[in-house]
This record gives sequence, structure tokens and C-alpha cells, in this order.
Amino acid sequence: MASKLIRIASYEAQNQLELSLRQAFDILQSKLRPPFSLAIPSPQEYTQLNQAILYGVLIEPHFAKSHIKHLHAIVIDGYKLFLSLLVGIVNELYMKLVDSVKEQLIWVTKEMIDVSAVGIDSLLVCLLRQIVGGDFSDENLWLCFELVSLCLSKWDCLIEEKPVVLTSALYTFLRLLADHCRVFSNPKLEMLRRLEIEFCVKMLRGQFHLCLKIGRDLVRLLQDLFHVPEFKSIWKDLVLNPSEFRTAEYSDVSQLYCTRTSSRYFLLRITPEMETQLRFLLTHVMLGSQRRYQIWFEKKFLLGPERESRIVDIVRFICCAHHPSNEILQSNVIPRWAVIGWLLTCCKKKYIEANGRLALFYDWLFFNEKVDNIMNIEPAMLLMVCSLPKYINFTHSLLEFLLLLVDNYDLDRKNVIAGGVSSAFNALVQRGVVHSLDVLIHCNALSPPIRERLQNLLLNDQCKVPRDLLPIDLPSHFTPALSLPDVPSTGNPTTSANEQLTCEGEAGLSTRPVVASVPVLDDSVNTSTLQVVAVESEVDAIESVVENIGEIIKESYTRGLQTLEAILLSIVNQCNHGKTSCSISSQDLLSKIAKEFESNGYQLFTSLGSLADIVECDDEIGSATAIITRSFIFSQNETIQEMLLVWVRNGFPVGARLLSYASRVANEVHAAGCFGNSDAEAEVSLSRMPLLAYHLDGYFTFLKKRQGDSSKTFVSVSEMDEKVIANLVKSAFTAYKHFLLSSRAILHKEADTSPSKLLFSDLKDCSDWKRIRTKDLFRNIFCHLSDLSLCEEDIIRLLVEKMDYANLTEMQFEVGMGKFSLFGDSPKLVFRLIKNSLNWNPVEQHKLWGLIRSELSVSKIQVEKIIVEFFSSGEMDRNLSAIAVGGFLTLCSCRAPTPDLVGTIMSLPNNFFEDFTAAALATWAASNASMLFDSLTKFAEKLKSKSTCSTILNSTEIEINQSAIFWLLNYFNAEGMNVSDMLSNFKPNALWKLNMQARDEAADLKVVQHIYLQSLLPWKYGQRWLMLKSSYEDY
Amino acid sequence: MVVSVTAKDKAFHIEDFSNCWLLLQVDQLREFYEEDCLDERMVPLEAIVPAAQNNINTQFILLEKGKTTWDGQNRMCLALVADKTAAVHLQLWGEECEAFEAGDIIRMENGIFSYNKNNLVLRAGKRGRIEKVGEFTMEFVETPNLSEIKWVPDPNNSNRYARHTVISSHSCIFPPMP
Repeated sequence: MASKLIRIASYEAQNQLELSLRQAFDILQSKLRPPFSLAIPSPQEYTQLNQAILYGVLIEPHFAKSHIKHLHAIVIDGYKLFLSLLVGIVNELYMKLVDSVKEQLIWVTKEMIDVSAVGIDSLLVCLLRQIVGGDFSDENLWLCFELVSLCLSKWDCLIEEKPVVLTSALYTFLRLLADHCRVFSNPKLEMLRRLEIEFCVKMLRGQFHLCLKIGRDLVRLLQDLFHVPEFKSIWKDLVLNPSEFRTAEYSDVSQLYCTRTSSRYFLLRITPEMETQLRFLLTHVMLGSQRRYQIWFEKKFLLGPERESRIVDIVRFICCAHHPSNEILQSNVIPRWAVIGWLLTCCKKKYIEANGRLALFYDWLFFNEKVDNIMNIEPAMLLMVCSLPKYINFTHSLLEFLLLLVDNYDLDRKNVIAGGVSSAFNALVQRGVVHSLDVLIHCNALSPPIRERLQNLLLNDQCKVPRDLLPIDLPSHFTPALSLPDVPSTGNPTTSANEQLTCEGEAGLSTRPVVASVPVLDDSVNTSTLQVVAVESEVDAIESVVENIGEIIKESYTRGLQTLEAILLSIVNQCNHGKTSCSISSQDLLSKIAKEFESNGYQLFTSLGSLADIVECDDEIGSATAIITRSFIFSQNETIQEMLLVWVRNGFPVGARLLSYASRVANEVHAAGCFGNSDAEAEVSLSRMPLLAYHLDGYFTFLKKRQGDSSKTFVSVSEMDEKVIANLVKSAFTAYKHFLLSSRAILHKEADTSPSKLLFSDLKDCSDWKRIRTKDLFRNIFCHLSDLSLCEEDIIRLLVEKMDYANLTEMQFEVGMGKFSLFGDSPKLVFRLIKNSLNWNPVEQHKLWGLIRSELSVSKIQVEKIIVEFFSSGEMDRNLSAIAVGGFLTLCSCRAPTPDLVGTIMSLPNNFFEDFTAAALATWAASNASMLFDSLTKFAEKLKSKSTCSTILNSTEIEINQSAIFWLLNYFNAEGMNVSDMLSNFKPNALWKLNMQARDEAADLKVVQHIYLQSLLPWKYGQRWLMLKSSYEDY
Repeated sequence: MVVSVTAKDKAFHIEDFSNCWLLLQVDQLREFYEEDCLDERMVPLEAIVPAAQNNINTQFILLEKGKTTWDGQNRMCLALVADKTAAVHLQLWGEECEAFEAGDIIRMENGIFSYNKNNLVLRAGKRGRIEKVGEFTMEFVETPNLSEIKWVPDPNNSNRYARHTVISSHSCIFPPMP
């Protein structure tokens, strides 16, 4: 049966809500006409009756009054159920409703206002949400008209009972007026526009105390209506004559600025369908898979004249009304900034784009940590920072726009805006959304004037900070871009800005991954906790500090981290001062520290794989884990190592984290080396190598503290030469190896676990972590831990499994150039690897052979030894070993035909890939004929002269490969040479299975021929034999 | 609030109406109820194998539609559909070609996955049907694509097909979006 309520397209499933109403109506139809039953319905019957009456009201306009009377008669819940059904219809079905039903819906809504039904406010808000911004269709304008009329006609009732409906309506109509006042060609709009203006002016002029509750976005909306005369005068009064509004609370527009707009206002301008889709996009769709969803969303909601204006509403919605959970933040779900970036690029009209950017930055302008939510300003920051690598122009224009706003948004209250923006920046750093503003300030790709203006903005704000909150020696706040060898002598420059903020409560921490809330340490700040540790009885001091660390963390996370570092330094110092075994129990220390950090939401030594690949989640820098890692690397201290081992026992990937850290330091050094080789290009900002900067920073603190003289300025920056850096990298890997060896000794006593196996398992963990570049990781392993990794089957197999072809090819180049070695120079090990690789899958084998060929064709390894081992290693499956044999052939063709190699090839056994020798000889004959024949000559001479054991084959018996002989004969024939020459050369050796004794008797060529005839003729060589025979007969 | 759902009479029994979000919750319950009871035979795409039987009940999202062509009297149109587990080519016939758009979530009852003119496609066929049940809010993957797999008779069960080799990881007709 077709629905009278909604339009259902063909092939569309039934709607369950509609179905339930219709069924109730069908069942009770006979009871819906007077005289109505006087029986009291059961709860179930009551529900059904409500459903049936609602359906009747909506589809039978002529009986509507009768149905409503019926409802009035039976209602026992203040119309709550009826209203909730209505809300359901509006939210779920409004777009599909038949026109007459929509009219009935408005009618019944008015009826419900008259009886002050419970939940009428929700219904009205839901109806307001159904008005679509930027939609000039008749249906949409009709709904606007009906609702604005309703607000005016039911004014008194609403203002008394549900003022929140009127402020919602004000927000809605102000926003719609911006659309409606832009399009004048539509005559139908005129009447509507007049009503909307009437309503809004009535609200603003008469009920300003209510309007104030909307907060700062009221200003944003009014701004867009500045060109409408009625609003121009309101705007003027708002700014210049606050008393005009006869509202005692209101004295200046900055009061509105300070009030954050509640998120429910932003929902008003997003239809439920848009909301569902946006929330789905932001909670379920993985970064990288969003393209199709974006296209669908754009097609449905954004394409079409004037529809773009919705982008502004969506940006506000995403910033202020959709705050993802920690779980989502740490997952790979598309982040809010990426969606906003996409939306802003959808703007085709300049003014929409500007409004979109204003919507993005709006909360920045008035940011106050006490009332504002960091989540509202986070997307803009991440959008700027994350666009740096690929879309620098985008970052540039956003930053420029923000600075423009600071200067121009409100000329009379410029200081308010500047203060808001700079506290927004500070809060973002303090909460760890970005770990430093260096990314912007020291980004060379941004224009110098922009960076300068940003610095000035932040500096000016700095001056206003009360003196007592400033750190003791405030370093120059911003230093210019640093080239690698320059180390900031005062630690990270921006952190002192955070320091004064750390006294503020960290209430917002729970909404953020705490790992992200970690600013980079500033060791120039001598905090009181550091001094506490310096007292005489260090053990006691350490213990007492550890006792208190929980309190310190709670008070300020940054101080907590500094305390942790101080504790670690004290432990190191203590051990260095002659006490071989520290009296501090690492177990106790650890459990206390770990517990305190955990209770503040931070888990030490977690897998990096669980952390999202965004700047804000960089757990390798500045976190407690990073501090412990760094201290361990510098000191390789036993106590710290014991702590680490306890974590290992508890199942945390400590080894992998150490490895990842060391590898990243190496990478950043490597990258710097690539950029900074010439001094002209040496302008490499440390912000591009954040871990290296962090690591160096810690290195100097460590040196300084270990020398026990905190006032002395340490190593001057110019002394930071390549050697120091190289040593830093080396020591990071040494520390890791140290850790591996001891963890093996302590944790894997029973199991026969080699350090290589442990390295393998750490590598495996690391290579699953998304942010780690596998190629770099493996390069570092082979460069710095070659003794554990060379020719290790597991590791090399992991390498070929994890690396894509492009990276493998690059690695081939690098090993080809001799930058590092994968296989080493032991033929035995390489042979074993190759032998084991026969069980790998073909793709892995091919990849392996690519690497083998690249390295072995240039290395000094004796390839012939590997070949001989391989070909004489007994029974092998032809199919399984095919790729390896092919690999050997290519490898041979890459190597020169040296006497040793040719000798080996000539004496390969016949029972396995018979033609291998011939094929190898053929390649050399084409590429390097003279050397080949020199080698062959030498081979022959050797055979002739040898009376004792051969050097080539450690046996008294020499086999010459059949195919070699055939090939040689063919070759000489083809070259037109006399076979006899060749045979005379090979006279003694052409003997089949000739042993030394027999050779002496074989001087006569007849004998040679005879032996050939006897032994050389398996049937498959028949044809060749005929040919050969003829050449012999000629002879 | 107490809401009880009985599968037998498909009715919602609501005893207390103190929550204004009641309806939303009822909706959620209803969805839950539908998923749970309506069709226990619903299968994920990855579980379907080619067979000459109209017995596939599944749900997927339409990712992309090809051009509508004429096959004698009938229009037909190839589409890429997918769920969280796999993707496959869907053959639309007649009016179906216009009724569905990219982004639609579609439920299929008694569909068939078989070779049609050398293409391995999923379709409703004469005995099955497809209908739109929603839009947008469904996760999907574009690989494996069941239509781009070579199937051979299952050595353990000659009545069934088993996957042999992957011809292409993604659809060759509808390449993945960059």
C-alpha cells in the first residue's frame, strides 16, 4: 500500500517509522471517529493511539480538528509521547513528506504551542533545523515563511515559556537573512525578508538580554548583515551606544566577544542528514579513503548556486560541535583539520572563503583558557601545520588571514583580539597540539614578513605576563632559523612561553591524548625540583622527589617531566660518583614513576603504532618515554637499564622504542647531511629535524649536569661538528645494543635467543609503525648494527617483505654504491641465506636477488665459493631453486670472468641446470670475451700443470662441465676457428671424469675422442653429438 | 525508561516516557532489532562465491556507476559496490539503472553471483531484489574485488567454487580514487 505520508521512490525500502504509524492507524481507524471510547487505554494501547492520531492528523486535514480533540481527551503525559513522535517525523522524514502533510505538521505544531506541550521547544528547534541554508526552492522558502510567521504570531507565549526557541530562531533567521539579502531577483523573497527582519529586529531591540546568551557568534552573523539598513543601526548601537539596548548587563561589545557560543546554535544550521554524514566521516572513514565520501557529500549538499554558504556553518559545526574522542584522535580516522581543509577548497566565491576562514579562526580571536575549549581552535592550528609540507601556500594564506584579523577585526579593541590570538597559540603549544611554534616561525618557506608579524604578536603578549610567573632567566624568545651545527644554547626557545602557563589547571587534558600534551623541555629553567635533587643525600632526595612526582605532574605536566629528567640525572650522577651499585631500587622507582604518569593518563613505552601519525602525537619528543630513552642513551646507566628491563618484562615494546628513537636520530642526521653539505645551503631549520634538536638539547643538559656545574656555559655551538653528531648517532645505537645484550642475559636466559633474534623482533614491531620509514630503518640497522644484522635471514626476509619496490630499488642503488652492506663478505653466510631463501615465496626471492646482485656485483666477496657450494650441495628441487639459479646467472654476468670464477663455472656438476655454465660463458663471451678467454687459458694451463690437488675444487678429480665443452665447440665452430686448436688446449681436460692418473695416459687425441664417445653421450645430446662427430671426423 | 522489544509480534513496548530522546533510542533499538532478526542469513560480501543460485542476502554501498547500455530490450549498467570486507561488480537491469546512485546503501535479497557474458557479476536476477535502505553511512573497501578473482572448482567440494588467483586487486573497470 502506498504511503500517504511520504514519497517513497521506486526501489526504496519502507521506512519503519512511517510503517509503525500507518499500522497503528490501520488497526485503530474505526476508533478514531467520535464517539470516542471512554475506556482508559493500557500503556501499549496509549502508544498505538498516539501513533494513530498523529497519522490521522497528518494525512486527513479535514478530520484534523476531530483528531486533536481526541488527543486532548486521552492525553495523560502532557503530550510528551505525541511530541516525541513528531520530532521523529521531522528529523527522519521531513524531506520526504507530502506537501499537504507538511502543512498539517505546522498546523499541529501551533496547536501544541497553544497547549504548552512538553517538548515543544525540541520540536520547534528540529523544524528550524529543516530550513536549509542557501536553498531558494519554494518548499524551503515556504518553511522559512511558516516558521518566522509562527514565531511572530506565538511571540508572547514563546517568550514567556520557551525563550530559547526564540534565540534559536534569531540565530537561524539572522543566518538565513545573509542569504536572503544577497539575492534580490526573487520577488517571492521580499515578503519573507520583511518578516525575517521584523522578527530579528524585534528580538534585538526588545529582548537583547536574551540575545546576549547567543554569545560571540551573534556578532559574526550581524556583521554579514551590515549592509541592511535595519542592522546597520543596530550594529552602530551595539558598538557605540550600548545603553540603547536598555540592558543592564550590557556595556560593551567585548562582552559578547567573551561569551563562547553554545554548540547547539551551530547544530541549528546543519540538517540532521548533514550531521549524520559529517559525523560518520569524522568517526569511521580512514584518512586516505575519504575521497568518495567527499564527492558524495559535495554533490548532495554543496553543489548548486548559493549552497556554498553552508560551508561556513559546517566549519563552525566541526570546530565547535564535533569533538572527537581520544580513541578517534589516536586512530587513523580522517582528522577534523583535513575535512575543514577540503571544505575550504570547495569554496568558489571569495566572500564565502573569507567567511569560512573567519569561522575557522573565530574562537581564536577571543580565546580565553578559562571559558574556551582548546578543541575549538585545534583544527585551525593543525590545518596550518599539516599543510606546510605539501600546501605551503594554503598555510601561508591562512596565517596571513589570521594576522589580518588581528589587525583589522576590531580596530578599537585590537588588544583584545591580539591577546586572544596569542593565548590561543600558547594554549595550543601548552596542550601539545603542536610541540612548538617553531614549525611556523622558523619555516623558511613562509614569507619573512608573515613570520615577523607572528613573532611580534607573540612577543607583545609575552610582555604582559606578570613578572613573577616568568622563568628565572628568560631566553631570547625567538631565535632565527638554525642550521644544523648550531645548537640553541638555551634549549628550545619557545618553551619558556609555556612555562608561565603551566600553573594553570590542565582541565582539558582528559579530552586530549595526554601523550600529545607534552611540550619540549627547556633545561635553561632551573626549577625548584631540580634544586631539590642537588642536596647532599641524593638517594633520599631522589626518593622524596619520586614520592612527590604525582603531585608535581598534577600541578603541571611540564614540571612533572622536568622532575623526571632531574631524577634520572641524579641517578646517573650517583652511579658515576664511584658507587658501582646504586642503592636505589629500580623496581620501586619505576613502578612509582610509571604509576604516576599512568594515573595522569600517560602510558610509558607504548607502541608507536597506536599513535596517530600527526604532529600532535609525537611521543618520541618531549614525552616521559623520550626523556627516559634519551637519558639512557647518554648514560647507558645500569639503573636506568634495569628500569627499562622491568618494562620489557611487562610486555612493553621498549627495544622497539629505543630502536625507533636511535633510527630517527640517524635519519634526521642523514637528512641534514643531504641538505647541509655546502655552507650556502646550510640553512636547515632544526624544526625539520625535531628529534635531533631534542636529542642535542638533552645531550648538552647531560654534559652540563654531569660536570656538576650548572652555571657554566657548555660546549659552544661552533664546536658541534660532524664528528660529534656522528658520535651521537653511534652512541644511540650502542646504547640500544647494550640494552639488547643485557635483556638477553636477563630475560631470555633459558631460551637460546641471539641478539639478532631480539633485534629482529624489535624491527618487526618498528616496521609495523606507520610513521617509521622502513627503508631508513633498515639502512640504519645495516649501517650501525651490522654485526647483528649482516646476512641474517629473518631480518633480510623482513626487509624484502616490508619494503615496496621503489624503496628496494633505492636500496639497491645504495648498496651498489657501497654505502652499506647487507650481506657482508662471508661466502658461507651468503650461501646459507640463499639456501634458506629457496623456501621463501617467489616475490620475496626476486626481491632478495635484486639486492644480492646489486651488492655482490661490486663487493669483494668470492662469488665462486658461493656458486660452488650451491651447485654441489646435493639434491635440490629444480623448481624451488630456479629463481636462485637465475639469480646466480645474472650475478655472474655482472661480475667479470676472472680465472677463479671461470674455473668454478667450468667445473660445475652436470646434473643440475646443465646449461648454466654454457649460458654464463655465452654472456661473458658477449660482454668481456678477451678476459673470458684469458681465464679459460689460465684454467686450461692450471689443469695441465697441476699434478696435485686442484685449487678450484678441493679434490683430486676434476669434472669439466659438459655444456661448457659443447658451448666452446660450437663457439669456435661459429667463429670459424679450428676445433683442434681448442682441443689441443683442452687436450688433457676433455677427458670425461678424468682423474690425475688417467690423464697421463690420455695424451693421444684418439683417446680423447674415444673417451668422449664412451662417456659423453646421454641420449638428449644426440643431435649435438652428430654435429660434434662430424667435426671430429674432419679432424 | 523501559523499552522491551519482542521479536515475535514486532512491536515496541514502551512503559515509561520520561526521556525526551525516547524516539531516538527507539530508532536505535529498531535498527538493532532489524539487524538482529530480520535476516539471519545476511552475509558479508567476502563470503560469497560464484554459484548458479539465487540465494545471496547482503548489504553494500554503491561506489560508482558505469554508463547505461542497451542489451536488446533492456537497459543495463555495471556498478561497483562494496562493504567492509570486499568489493564486487553489480549488474543493474532496467529501472534499477536509474533508481540507484553512488552513495546509496543497498540491501539485496536472493541475489546471484555468477558469470554473465563472461563477466563475473552480482545481480538481483529475476528472483531476487535490491532496495535502497540508506545513504553514505557505510564503510567499505575496494580490495579484494570478487569480480577480479579467478575462481576454480573447489578441490574439496566440486559443487563449490574456490578462489584461485587474483586477476586484479582493485576493479579494472572502476579504478580507485586517487
